[in-house]
Amino acid sequence: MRAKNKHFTLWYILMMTFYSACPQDNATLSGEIIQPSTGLKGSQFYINDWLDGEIFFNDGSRVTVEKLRYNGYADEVLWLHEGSKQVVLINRNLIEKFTLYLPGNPEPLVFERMPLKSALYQRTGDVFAHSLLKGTISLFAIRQIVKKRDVIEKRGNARGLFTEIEPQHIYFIILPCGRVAIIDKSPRKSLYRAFPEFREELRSAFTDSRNRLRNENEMIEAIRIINDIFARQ
Amino acid sequence: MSKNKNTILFFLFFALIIFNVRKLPATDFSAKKELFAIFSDRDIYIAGERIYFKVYLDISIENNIPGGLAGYVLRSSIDKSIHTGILTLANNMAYGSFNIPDTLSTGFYQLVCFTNTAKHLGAASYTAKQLIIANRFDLEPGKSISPLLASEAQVQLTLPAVINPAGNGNFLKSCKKEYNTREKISITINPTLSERGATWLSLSVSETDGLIDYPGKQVYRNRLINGIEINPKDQLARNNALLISGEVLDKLNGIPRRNIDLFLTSPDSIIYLLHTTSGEDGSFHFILNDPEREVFINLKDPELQTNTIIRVFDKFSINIPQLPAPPFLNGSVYDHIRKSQDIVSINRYFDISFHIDQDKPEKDYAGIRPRLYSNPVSHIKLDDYLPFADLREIAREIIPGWRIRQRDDRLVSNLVNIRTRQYFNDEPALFLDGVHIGHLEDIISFGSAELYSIDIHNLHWRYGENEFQGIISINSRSDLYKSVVSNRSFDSFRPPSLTYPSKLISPVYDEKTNYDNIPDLRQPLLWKPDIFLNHESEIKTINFYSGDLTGDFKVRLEGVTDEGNYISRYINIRIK
Repeated sequence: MRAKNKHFTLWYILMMTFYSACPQDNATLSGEIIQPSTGLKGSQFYINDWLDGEIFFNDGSRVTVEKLRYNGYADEVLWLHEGSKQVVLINRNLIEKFTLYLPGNPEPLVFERMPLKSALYQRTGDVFAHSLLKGTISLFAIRQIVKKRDVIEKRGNARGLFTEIEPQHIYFIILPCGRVAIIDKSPRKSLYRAFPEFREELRSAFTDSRNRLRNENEMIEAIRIINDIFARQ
Repeated sequence: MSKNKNTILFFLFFALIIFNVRKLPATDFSAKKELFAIFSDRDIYIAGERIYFKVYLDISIENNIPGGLAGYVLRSSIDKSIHTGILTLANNMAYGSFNIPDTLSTGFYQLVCFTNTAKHLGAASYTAKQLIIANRFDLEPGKSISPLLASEAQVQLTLPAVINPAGNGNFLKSCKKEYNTREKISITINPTLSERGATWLSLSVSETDGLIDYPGKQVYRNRLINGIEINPKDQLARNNALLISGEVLDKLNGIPRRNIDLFLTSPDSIIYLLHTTSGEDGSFHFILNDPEREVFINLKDPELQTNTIIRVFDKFSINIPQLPAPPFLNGSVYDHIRKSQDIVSINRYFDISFHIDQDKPEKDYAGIRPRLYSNPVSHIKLDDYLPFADLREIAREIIPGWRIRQRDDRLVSNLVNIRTRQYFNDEPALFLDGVHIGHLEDIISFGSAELYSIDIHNLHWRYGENEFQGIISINSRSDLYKSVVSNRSFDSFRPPSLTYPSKLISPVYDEKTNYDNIPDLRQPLLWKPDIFLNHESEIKTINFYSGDLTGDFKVRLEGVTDEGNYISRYINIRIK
């Protein structure tokens, strides 16, 4: 296990050396300096670590950032300013999309800001959706962190009310017509509902590929299958 | 243990491969060549005429650069800047034209072009073309442009590395040697196998006497084409933005001041802000993505204004004297000038023009400036309230979170943090019409009559390396920033206007045209700056029409190969 960590550390250092050598665009990050929120039990972040990433702004500019984090509870992108150790809530109105690089993974996680209204997703306005697959049919996930319940806990000598939070990912696809279809707890049925004309074809394709859509990777694979069917039409 | 070592070594090796593959551009960073060339339709002009010119840029790191900017200046022999402009490059080149001011005296002039890289490296890296411009009313042009002896001229700029002298063969061919007036002329460009290659060319057809020759066949003594070493890692070597440089000095002794924070802003209802810090030698640089606005540079810390001055360098000042190269001029040149003076006068008198501006191309430069914030916390429109006499009254009556106090001999203000409901310790950043203002005293007297709106952004705000304890942005009704910047240690820079592609019309006389009943006294019959030959044997035919002028004309083809070699071919035709 320790050897594996060493490998990753080595990998990480090398990757960081490369990225620090990359020329940066002329954009400047801006946002409100915030204090870390208290009163929560559980992590607000999709990935807890500060990660390297890029911010792509509406005006076409781009900036490479060393420490970024996505807060799924507030649906905000945070930047840790290295010099001051201040946490900055990046001005979301200027962001078109952002990426996060997981150590050891050259493919970044891409989050796009998109308007979304849904019975499942309670917030209004826009949301940063994780792009899982791009194609004729695109698959996205909302990496939201939601309140589970209020709990009273003793921390130190004091008892306090805390909000217990947990991740609750919402998957959805965007159809060629631009319509959004939520993939609920029965992914197969959701896809059959979204593509009633291909219901039988999808059923046999999923059976042939032994895809039971039980996890995210299988869901990505299922959308690839649907894209292949669309390509053949 | 040994197995672990092997695994680590394997990972190290693998990671190094990845690292090197990903870093491929970086290995090319060592020293690369930027090649810049300039061509124009003629060599001799009359004041009041239009110069058509083209610049070509090739960077060997990335041959197909998406675009960029290049500055140009027409300067006199005493280094006086006559005309400045910015070209937007697309597909490695840019072309445009400008009018020569009517009042220029007869003499040698230089059209100088430069990229940011060349600007950064200094004037010796610029690309230049020598021109002769004669005043329209000068009856004795020979007095001002008499040929110099080669021994007298101090040729300061060296020749390009490779010059292909004017060649013969079929590269450039006309189907006839002689043409009538208003007759169709066909020119073919047909390179032989050995001459093939990616080549960017410009073709001009003008009176032979309007072109200058130089002794010893050294036609391009004055650095038409120029190659410089660049370090692409250097952010200042970027060509898709405008580099603005200057220095910060101590007001008393003129000593450079280092580590001084500077802001660059420009008048707008939205705040665009750039920040930089002066270096060891007091110098500073801003990379401006959007070259179409006037910008103001001032100190981040207003307290420093009493003993600090900012000096923005004139980007278009060349700083090295122009030493005219010795042209070979015979008597017919002076006759040509006198004839051209008459033609220009006729064209002016009868308002005859064969020039047309082309549609503005899409911006190829970034065109982006970072915004300080997108939406303020609150926006106050003063017309919604009763009129107030001054800013102090406005703050007291309608902006309760803004406290203005007199402390010693100056005014201080603080905003209430909207999150904590407590006053910030430091003063907010102040902007008037988008321009950063250091002193509240400069704007305190403005009331509802002068001001239109106020944005209050009372958040603890970070903008890159800058931290603001609130931001106040005031928009005036009549550009009041101008009176403020004139009183303080600001320096400004107004970029010259962008030069867009334009072309010389060649009327088609086979069909009815608007030019049928007007004299066609075109001296350049053709200026076609955008000819590209690829590696294939592609024959290009260019058709145009002669005008009403008779005499000897030279068809001149000039350009640069993808290997950076200058190429020139010419043939003579006669209009009878």
